[in-house]
Amino acid sequence: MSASLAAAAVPARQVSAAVELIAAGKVFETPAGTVPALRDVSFTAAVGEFVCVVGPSGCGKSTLLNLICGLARPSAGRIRIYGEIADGVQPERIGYVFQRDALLPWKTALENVMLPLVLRGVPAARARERATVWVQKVGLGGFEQHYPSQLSGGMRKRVALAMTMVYRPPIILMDEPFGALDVQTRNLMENELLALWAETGSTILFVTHDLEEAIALGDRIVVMTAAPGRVKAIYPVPLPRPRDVTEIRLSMEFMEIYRRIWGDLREEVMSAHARA
Amino acid sequence: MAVSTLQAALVFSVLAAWELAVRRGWLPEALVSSPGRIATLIGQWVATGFLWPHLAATFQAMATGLLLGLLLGAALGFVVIFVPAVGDVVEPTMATLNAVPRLVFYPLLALWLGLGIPSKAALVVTIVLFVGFFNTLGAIREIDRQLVAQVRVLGARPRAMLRHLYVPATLLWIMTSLRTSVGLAFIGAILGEYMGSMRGIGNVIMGAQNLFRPDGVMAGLIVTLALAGVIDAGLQRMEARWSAWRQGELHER
Repeated sequence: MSASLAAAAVPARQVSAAVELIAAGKVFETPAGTVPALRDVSFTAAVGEFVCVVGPSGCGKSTLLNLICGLARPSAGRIRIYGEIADGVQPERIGYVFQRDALLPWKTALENVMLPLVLRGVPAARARERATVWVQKVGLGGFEQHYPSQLSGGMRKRVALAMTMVYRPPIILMDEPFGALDVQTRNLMENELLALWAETGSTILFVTHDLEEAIALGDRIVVMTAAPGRVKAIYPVPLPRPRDVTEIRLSMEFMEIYRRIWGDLREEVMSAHARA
Repeated sequence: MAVSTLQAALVFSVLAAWELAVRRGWLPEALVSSPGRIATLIGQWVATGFLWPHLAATFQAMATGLLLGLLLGAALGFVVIFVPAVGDVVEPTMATLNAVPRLVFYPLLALWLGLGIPSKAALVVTIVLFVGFFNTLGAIREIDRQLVAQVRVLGARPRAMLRHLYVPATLLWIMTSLRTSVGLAFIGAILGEYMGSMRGIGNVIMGAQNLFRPDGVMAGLIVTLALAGVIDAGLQRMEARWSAWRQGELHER
């Protein structure tokens, strides 16, 4: 069911880019005037690629994801999903793991994970079965019947992750999904994410302000400037896979890449600070 | 436990003092009656079956009015939220109407619906409607916008949004305020009966008052208290059951 859903969402003709931003820009109208959030952002994410977007706080990273998933419209430029101009949300193509976990408080962990399947008309018994598998995959076996208020922050994050993975959207957007977690939990979740990604072959766009996390996870890294966000540079991450995020940080190649990108990022962080 | 023993002792000593004061002639029995007389009267009401039709009438008026009022209020709330053109007119109107003592409508309601249960239920509706309405507005407006976005991104169309997000959020608020609503519904039903009716506890109280029978008035009050207590206890148990998800503690199953 999910495999065929995902396949149907991808056009038959071969496209290499899952997400393509062409000079995309966004300005917000506020009572105080027009505030530019993003300016002239162009980059692509190939099908099956893991792209990380890094930038200082307030550089419009979340806005970027909102534009891609169709929750907001670009004020300038275009966004193509599998070669087609996006219009509105596209639940069959794009999943979104938000910065704060957004779970329905009156549904149990299992019922939350079932929701996207129920919305797709999957029969309840089948949805329950598949959701159970994913609850276990994110390490929450035994917590199926707990309500979000009875789970820790890290556990809720896992539920949110399972909720998106369970219907196998071909493109997954993630907005600092592990930002609020402690280091151990975070590394655990990062490794789990890499394993899930390898298994599903989804395209992932992962926003973070943590350069180390971006290098450990990504195939490529898009460095953004301080507000209004522009693409400052794009770096490939030629580290071998499969990776262990804890160990890879200790390798010489990792340090080398880190040093190179940090030079660019530091300027932006400083200028963001100076303005704030 | 210690508290409830203390409470019982306190209540008992007040009742004893009252009884004693009446028997010694310190208080005029014709005005304040006495615990013994009130108890005897309630005993008679129960023994002769006099009480039940009145109790049933009050309960029916209260329950019907409560249900209808909450439903109508919630429905109106949804219309106001999702049809802004209507909302711009209805919301301020409701706010103004809410400031009017609803009792002034009762003569009209009695004219239209007669002196039976429907006019009491209607009076209850005019009170509870506003609780349902304002709770619905609050519930929907308080929903986390990110949660709305999340459910949309997961693939919910407008009808699914109603079913999985807006309706449960509203039910939750209405259930949370249900104990308050029940209290208001009681006030409505009994006041209606008091102002003009053929049956109901309010009717009993009014009848006793007309006959200068303070024991009858007080017996009516006590029956009301008892009914309210039973309903409230039931609601508390219900609430504890369905709001398991709100308690932050982990309980293993």
